[in-house]
Amino acid sequence: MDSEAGRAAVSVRGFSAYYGGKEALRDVSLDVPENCVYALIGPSGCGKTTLLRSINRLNDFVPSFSREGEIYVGGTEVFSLSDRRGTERLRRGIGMVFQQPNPLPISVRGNMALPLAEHFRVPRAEMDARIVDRMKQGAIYDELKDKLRSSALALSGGQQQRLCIARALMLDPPLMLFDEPCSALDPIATYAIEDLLSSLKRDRTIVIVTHNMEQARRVADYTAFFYLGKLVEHGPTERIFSQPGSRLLSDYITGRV
Amino acid sequence: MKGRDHRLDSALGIAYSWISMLLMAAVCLFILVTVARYGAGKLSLEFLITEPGASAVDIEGGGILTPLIGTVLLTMLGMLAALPFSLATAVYICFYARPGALLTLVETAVDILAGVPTVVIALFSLSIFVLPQFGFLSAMIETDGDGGGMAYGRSFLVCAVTMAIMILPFVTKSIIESLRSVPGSYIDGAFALGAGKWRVVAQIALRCARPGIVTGTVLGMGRIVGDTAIVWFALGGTLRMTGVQPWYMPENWISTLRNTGSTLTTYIYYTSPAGEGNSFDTAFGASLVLIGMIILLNAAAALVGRAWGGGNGQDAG
Ligand SMILES: Nc1ncnc2c1ncn2[C@@H]1O[C@H](COP(=O)(O)OP(=O)(O)O)[C@@H](O)[C@H]1O
Ligand SMILES: [Mg+2]
Repeated sequence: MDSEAGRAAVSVRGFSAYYGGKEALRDVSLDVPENCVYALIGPSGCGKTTLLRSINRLNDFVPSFSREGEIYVGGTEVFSLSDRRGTERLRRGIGMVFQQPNPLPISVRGNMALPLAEHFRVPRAEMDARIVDRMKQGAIYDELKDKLRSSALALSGGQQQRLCIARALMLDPPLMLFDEPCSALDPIATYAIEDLLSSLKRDRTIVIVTHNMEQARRVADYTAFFYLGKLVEHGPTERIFSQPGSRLLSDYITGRV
Repeated sequence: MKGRDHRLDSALGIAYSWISMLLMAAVCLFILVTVARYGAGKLSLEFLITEPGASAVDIEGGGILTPLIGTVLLTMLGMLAALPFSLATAVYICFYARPGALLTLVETAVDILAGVPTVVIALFSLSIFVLPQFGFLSAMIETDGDGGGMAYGRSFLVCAVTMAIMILPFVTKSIIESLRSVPGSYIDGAFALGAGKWRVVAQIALRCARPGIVTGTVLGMGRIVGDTAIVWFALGGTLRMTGVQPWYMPENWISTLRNTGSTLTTYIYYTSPAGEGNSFDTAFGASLVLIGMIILLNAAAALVGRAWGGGNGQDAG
């Protein structure tokens, strides 16, 4: 177990989460191997977002949140980080992309520069080169290279979402979390993002929450199925969908839950 | 049957809305036309740049220079004094205060203070600023006998501080509202990038809330421009500036600020038949200028709001 945890990008151990008295996750344990896409699926309200936001300690901002158990990212137990600097450093190593694209109401370039402007004094030429490179990685450069100075809010939803991905890439995070990144997008924008995911996983690990089982099938190497706060089943995506090991999962796959 | 009733109801409703709207437009227009008809004859550059007569009785000859300056001065000083406190309080309430009794108390106090009539705040200011400790804001007056002194308690400075107190809850509330309407996804997104709390507040929340903050500020300034009770109590009843003359010389500015004067609102009172001036024309002339100021203020706010607004945010990157 421990040796497996050593190679895992994320390792969740006996993790339970609560909002006030209400349980959102119960005793979840799973390992996310490095350089893969790991999908979290399950009906709405089963705790997928809660798990994702626990990995980068974003739930710290929910006053009623509490938890038991541990989550290891790159060998560090995230809840053992007790000071502000520690959690901020943790978050900088974990890119996060939300359901609703959230570029700030400033220029495209301003959005791209944001993550670096925070902590590092980067010479302008270097910054520009990095922005171009990460926008290329985010498969958005060709579309936006003439719009760097215009408002990010003028872009289409799909472009905004890829801009947010490229923005997260500015910090070269070895781990990225996606919370239903395509649920606000049309099918074409969705395919663009799915393509992007498979190129991104070459040198980083991706955890993605999705509502869309076809999407999990297309992009994920591993899939974990949650139901009412519990991890019901997890394993290689192939196996999960072809031989569901539980009635609950097969009902979910066939659309009966 | 039923269908017809519905149609009748909605026809009546629409007619009622129409008539109300027309009535309202008519009243607004009537007021503006009256103000313009009486006041327009008075308007001239000279009216704007001449000081009023020393007393309201010989008002006919003078202009509105000092009341105009008084209004502008109080509006700027009052807002300059209030805005930093309002911003800090709103940021604290929205981002730092823990929910609990203290927060509830502060929010309730702000709510109540926002509803207190300005004449009560004026009365409060009068009782406080005559204390000798506040003599530096106005002037000391010797009371014979006991050797102690009292402050005069009325001056531009006293009045500006009182105006600031008057608009504080109002501006604070509007900043709180605009901060709370900043989408949570912006805040989450910035935290997820590893931004520190102060940066998220200062560069994300305050930046996105800027249009709302500008609007709140301008509405607060409008309240100062239009207030009369506080001017009565805290600025005093002289038409002209009463500090060392000439009041406009830089070396006399401090003295001017520590002494009394008037604003457009009190000037309107003095020159009207209700005051001593008995001159509708003069009062309406000043009213026209007052209305013009408010229109300018709102136009400026709209411009600033558009330039800074969330919608087309461009930046130097
Ligand atoms: N901030 C919150 N405060 C209280 N309860 C919450 C909060 N966020 C989520 N929950 C509850 O926790 C449970 C799990 O929610 P969530 O993790 O968002 O599920 P999912 O992402 O799978 O739809 C739900 O019952 C939800 O109502
Ligand atoms: Mg969710």
